[in-house]
Amino acid sequence: MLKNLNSKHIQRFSYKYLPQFPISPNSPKLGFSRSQIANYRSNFPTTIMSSSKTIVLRSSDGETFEVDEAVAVESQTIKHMIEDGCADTSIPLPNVTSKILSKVIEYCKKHVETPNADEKVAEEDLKSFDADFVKVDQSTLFDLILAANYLNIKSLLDLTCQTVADMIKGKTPEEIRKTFNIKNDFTPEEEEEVRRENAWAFE
Amino acid sequence: MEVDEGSDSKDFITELSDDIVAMILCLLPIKYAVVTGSVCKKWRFLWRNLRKLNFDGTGDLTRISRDWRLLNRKRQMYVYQVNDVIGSYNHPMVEELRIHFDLDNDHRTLIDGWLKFAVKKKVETIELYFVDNEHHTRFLTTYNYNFPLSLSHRNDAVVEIPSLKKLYLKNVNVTEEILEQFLTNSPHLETISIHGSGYLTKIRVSGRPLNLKHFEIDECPMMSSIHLSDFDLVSFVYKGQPMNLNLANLPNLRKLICSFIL
Repeated sequence: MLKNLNSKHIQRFSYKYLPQFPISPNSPKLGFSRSQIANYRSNFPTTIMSSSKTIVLRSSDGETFEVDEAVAVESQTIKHMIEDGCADTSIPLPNVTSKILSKVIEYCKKHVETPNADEKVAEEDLKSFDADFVKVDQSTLFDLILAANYLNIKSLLDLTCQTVADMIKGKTPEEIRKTFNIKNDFTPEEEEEVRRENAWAFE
Repeated sequence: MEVDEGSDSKDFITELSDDIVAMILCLLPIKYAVVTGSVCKKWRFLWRNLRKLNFDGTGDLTRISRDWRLLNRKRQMYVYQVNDVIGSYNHPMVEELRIHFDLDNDHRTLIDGWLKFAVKKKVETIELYFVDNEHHTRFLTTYNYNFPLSLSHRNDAVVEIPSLKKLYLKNVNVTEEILEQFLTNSPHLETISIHGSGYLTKIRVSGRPLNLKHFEIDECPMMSSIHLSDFDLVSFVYKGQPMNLNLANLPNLRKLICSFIL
């Protein structure tokens, strides 16, 4: 009934390109832990593995951060810079301050180091990390969104955007303005016109 | 109304670019995204061109489950909102179309229209979840919306959605012929998930270059055999009555879940 399903046919395996399990469209990208990488190494001795080294990132305010390559390449932007050979000494990130960069690195580290999140415990742990990670003031939250966008870290971008979306969901326009300190620049006539256009949303 | 109480009452969000605000609005069911149009001038029309249209009716489904008399009215409103958004959609592309509400074959003309709109706009993900608040599959699949056999720009009996990557259907009837057309005419199709479809009895996918990676069949009452072989399937999930299952030569298969319900 089940034949030839084992994976011995894999000839090239790189832990940077991970098989994904998109059960739901929003599931986060999973990382392999070091023990899993070691396990694969012993089972597939002919596979070519990319070597792990450290990368230096420089924030806009001149601070440097040394991170494992595996953590740094959670950012597609950094990954492409490395592949294009621009990462000899350090990678400058003029759009990210040290405060935000250190948070981003913390996020990427946690997501790379968590063992395969099929295990319930690991999944719960990661979820609770994510929930705590976004408990920050608005200024930091939006800086994280901008950083995740610039660095192209999809899971962080999804997480931070979802947090803001949850702050908007179910609120009236006035409540939204209050939450984010947005000025109402509509005239009363304009406001009435917009409300009429979209009346069905307010039912 | 202006609030000026110091440094933590600054408006950070309207400084974000439109692209990023659009990303955030995409994560909201359309009904909540529309409300943002009344917040400030900059956001007035942002929600109208979101690439991901998520018509999530779960709120109303909960209300209907408490009072069945609301069903017809809420349905009318739901259909109205979908038509309103689709009617005024300006962008040349739609990435995702998600319909999540209690609809059935009575609404086929409308749903056919929505699908034609999505195909025209080169949709990549289609999700049709025609469930009530309990999320059950229908006992009588005859009531299900039948996926149309003519979804091509030429209006002939061909299902042609070349841009399609992901397909999620619940309480939608898909025939074997239509499934075959998906596999032939949608070269980028990676994910197929079918819950509660009538008509499907035998599925055979073998020996062709397919991008299909994730395949899920759930509670299809007529299912009698599934044969999958010689392609790069990564995950297969089956739930339903026991049937003849043949899986061979699937070297990339990582996840296999079969729940046979006796």
